[in-house]
Amino acid sequence: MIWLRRVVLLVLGGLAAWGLAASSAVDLPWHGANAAALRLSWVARPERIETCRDLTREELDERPAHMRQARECVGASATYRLSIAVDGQPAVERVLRGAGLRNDRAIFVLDEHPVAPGARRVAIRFTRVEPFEAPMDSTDVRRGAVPRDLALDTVVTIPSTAVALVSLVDGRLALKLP
Amino acid sequence: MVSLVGATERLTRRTLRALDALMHRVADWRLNPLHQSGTIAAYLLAVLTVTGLYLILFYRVGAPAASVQRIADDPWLGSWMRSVHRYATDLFLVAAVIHGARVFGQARSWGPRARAWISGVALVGVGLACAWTGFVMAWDSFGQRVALAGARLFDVLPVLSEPVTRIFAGDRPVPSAFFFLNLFVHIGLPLMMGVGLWLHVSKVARPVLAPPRPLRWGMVVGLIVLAIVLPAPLGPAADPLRLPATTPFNLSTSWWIPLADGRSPLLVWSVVSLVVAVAVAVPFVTRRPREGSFTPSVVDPRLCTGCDQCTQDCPWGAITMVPRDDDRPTLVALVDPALCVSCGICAASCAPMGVGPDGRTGRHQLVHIRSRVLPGLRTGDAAARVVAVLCGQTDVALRAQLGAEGAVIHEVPCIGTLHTSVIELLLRQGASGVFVAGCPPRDCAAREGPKWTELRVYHDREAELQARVDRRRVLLTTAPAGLAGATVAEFVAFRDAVVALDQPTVEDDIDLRLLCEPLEKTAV
Ligand code: HEM
Ligand code: SF4
Ligand code: SF4
Repeated sequence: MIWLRRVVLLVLGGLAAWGLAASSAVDLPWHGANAAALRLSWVARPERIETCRDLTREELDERPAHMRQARECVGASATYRLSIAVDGQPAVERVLRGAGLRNDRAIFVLDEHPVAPGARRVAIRFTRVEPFEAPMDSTDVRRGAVPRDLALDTVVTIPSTAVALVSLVDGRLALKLP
Repeated sequence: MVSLVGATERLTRRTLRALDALMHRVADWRLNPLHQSGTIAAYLLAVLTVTGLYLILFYRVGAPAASVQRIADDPWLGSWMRSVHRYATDLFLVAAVIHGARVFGQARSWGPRARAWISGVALVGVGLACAWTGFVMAWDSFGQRVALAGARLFDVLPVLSEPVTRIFAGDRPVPSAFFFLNLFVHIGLPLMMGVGLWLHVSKVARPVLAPPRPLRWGMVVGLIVLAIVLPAPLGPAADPLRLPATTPFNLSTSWWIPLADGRSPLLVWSVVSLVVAVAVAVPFVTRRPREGSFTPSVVDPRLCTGCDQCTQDCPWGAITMVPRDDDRPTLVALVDPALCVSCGICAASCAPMGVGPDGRTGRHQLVHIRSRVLPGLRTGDAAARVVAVLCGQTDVALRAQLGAEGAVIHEVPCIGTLHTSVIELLLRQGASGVFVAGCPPRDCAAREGPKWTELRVYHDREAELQARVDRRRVLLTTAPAGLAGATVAEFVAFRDAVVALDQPTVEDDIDLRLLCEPLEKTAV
């Protein structure tokens, strides 16, 4: 009767295989049928705010020859406040700093908010926290640094299952739909 | 702690035995895939390599989703190669986990086996990572989900300053460099698994990497039929600006994703680290003191004739032949205790009985039989003098059932440790028959016990059952889990057959030395 037992084994194997395939055909819920989102994604190089002063002749003379730099600056990278409001309701209010231990690398903005599909009024601001007229001696707008104040205030119709993406295009916040 | 580990081992063993029993009751135990989980995993690795090599020819890192869709749309080779690749992945991971559970339940996870255990854990980890990159390659909605889940986990590690998640934000196309890197990893990981598998079995002598032919063909044909009838699903192409309501599910890779969704990546990392730490710690927590049944084998150089048989039989390659330090012209066997798993197989391979763990050498076995078993065989009719030698791993119920049939039970750790001289001694000193029942060969915790016993009893492998022993009085059989009734029936038929034979005269008090191969200058 060994053949019968082998047939049973074949049937069991077939059932296991079918179970395997059936499990692959199962739909795993993810976002649900009626999801929509507002996503922000851009890279911002923070400005560097520096306090500089010119050294006096005497100070320069005291230094070793290889350290006689006429102008000396200390400073830090600016920080930025991100605020998002959807339909007038504040959704996010956060201060962002540059990456890296000294916060001198780029700020990676990446934020996603579920919203109800349909027409939404979206207001986004990304502004420098430190006052523009810094109490310091000077500020330096680096080449390629993000503008000090970015804003977007618009009404957008976000279909269900879609993401409205806000990104930085040519120095301005721009909105994109799929 | 020790009792918790022991209880977990027992629970695992009993669960797998119950599954075995269920399987054996309805199907052919010789092909029980649960006994073959390690070889099935190894074989599926080969299937994955072959199908993967085909798929790679048509994959494009510049257009991942479109190229996979084209493969899936090809009604001939493409579609089923892809589906076989997918289903083989799932089966591979399931088989590997069953195999790991099996060796754990059989307490084969510590000592010299620690390398196999830890590399096994690594193989599963690398296998999961490889499956992960494979799903990302397809770049359908499920690939997107897997990629995002991975990126979220990766981003909490202080490795890259730019979050990987940004790649999938949708403000620019996902760079083909990403898919190239992913492909590179997807090909590199299997190469690592090849090395890992080599390491995994590097301490095992004669590792078996392929399941028996019917299972091999059954699996390949089964996978192909499955791939044709129910091709593996492919979700819509990934779109970062879409939020799919659902994604396809995958047994081996995605069961954890809903659990991890929305949880802190640090929490997920903590759980993963804990699981890995527990898995890696197993060889240390299951370690036994090397005494009693776990004492390593030793060679008595006075008895060793240098025949080399034990080195050929040891399933762990723990014995080597080295020069002697006396004036005899032969080499002498030497056991490396760091490699010896104390299985006792060598005790039965040595004709002069010069090797084996203390208390389990052929000599110890003869002494034990003489003092404990033979006295019970002095009286009674032939039917009451049939000895059943049982492997300690066979069903517990079997002992009682055979006892009820009048069998004289003699339990051994594995039938592969039973010296053939024991069978001869039993038959010459009162037993009317010797019934030897062991585990299915691929389920042997000592790896090669039933195989060597069969060759020693029926095919003259050293240390063979001597030609003078009447083979009609010896039966070597398999007692698979759950089939105690069938084993008992076999015993009854054997008993009735030996009872019908002329009963031999009992040789009184034979010199044990006669049972051994030439013994030079030694005494028992
Ligand atoms: C992932 C794929 C795996 C493959 C392909 C595989 C394959 C194998 C093979 C072929 C053997 C030799 C079997 C023999 O000839 O007796 C073996 C032994 C072993 N495996 Fe695995 N294995 C895998 C995973 C694992 C896992 C996950 C574990 C445990 C965590 C594990 C633990 C062991 C141990 C401890 C042994 C030695 C057992 C002994 O002979 O006493 N393996 N494996
Ligand atoms: S089987 Fe016995 S006699 Fe032969 S080499 Fe091994 S220990 Fe020596
Ligand atoms: S007991 Fe003998 S056969 Fe088993 S591993 Fe040790 S030396 Fe090898």
